[in-house]
Amino acid sequence: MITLPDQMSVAGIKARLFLCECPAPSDHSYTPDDAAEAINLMDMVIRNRVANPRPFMATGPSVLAVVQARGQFAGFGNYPNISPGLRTHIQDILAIANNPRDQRSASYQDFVNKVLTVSNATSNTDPSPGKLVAWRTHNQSSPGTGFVLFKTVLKNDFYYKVG
Amino acid sequence: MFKWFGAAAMAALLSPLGAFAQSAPSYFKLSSNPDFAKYRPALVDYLHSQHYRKATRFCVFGTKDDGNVTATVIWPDGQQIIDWGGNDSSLADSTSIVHLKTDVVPTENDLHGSTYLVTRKWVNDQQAICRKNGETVRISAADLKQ
Repeated sequence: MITLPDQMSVAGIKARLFLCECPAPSDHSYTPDDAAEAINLMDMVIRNRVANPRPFMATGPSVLAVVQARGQFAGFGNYPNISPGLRTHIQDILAIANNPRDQRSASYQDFVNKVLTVSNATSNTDPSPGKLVAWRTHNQSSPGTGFVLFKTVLKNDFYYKVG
Repeated sequence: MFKWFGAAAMAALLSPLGAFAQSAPSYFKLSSNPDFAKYRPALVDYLHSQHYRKATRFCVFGTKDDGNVTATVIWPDGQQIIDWGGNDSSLADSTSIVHLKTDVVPTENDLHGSTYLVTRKWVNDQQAICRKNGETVRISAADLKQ
């Protein structure tokens, strides 16, 4: 049975955020490879924001402060109190993954395991030419001035900053 | 000024080609695309999940660009704009539900790197695109009793 790490651990915070931000296998755009890449890029964004929290409204250099930052991640502003809709979303994903009678179980297990692998990783490498610091749902415009589009993966546009 | 120009030039030089090769999006009616054609039961399910029982309407449309295909659901009564993942996914499981009462800021300068806030212009654009290219879906109170 797949469970998530403690909600206040770094891995636990990241895992819950990635499960809410990365489209799940039911999304028509989903492929396992794209999911792995998207989760990895999201992790890089979090790491870069922890290293430089101020421009992103975070009160300090921690994963908790970064995800709680005002206006940055939908439903996570009062973490560990996640908005009810997102809490249900996470529970639904785990329920499908852990139900062997559900024909979607294997793909959801794979999805959650990808999330856990990245959430538990001790390091990551930024593939962008600058600092990868933001993502937005595809076509929702730039996250502000000075952001450069790096690439679109699984319906999320990833942005970096230079300098 | 020079510093800004230098940073912008650096960004342009370092940016991958893809950042400048985006094609203009095209729009389609969801009813014309088999991956999204079952939008009506998805809308009814979503209203059930929201405990919404009154007659209401949605505007829905699809977007294609650079290999990405997305579906947008605008719900005026619920004050939401939702990215829908297609026939096999529920609206409630969307990774992007924009709440128009709380998630809209005046300009890009007010986003501060946010992953989910949107500008007023973006909202107006979505509404205009839907009026021009989308479909209106009416859900009756009777539909919600089934």
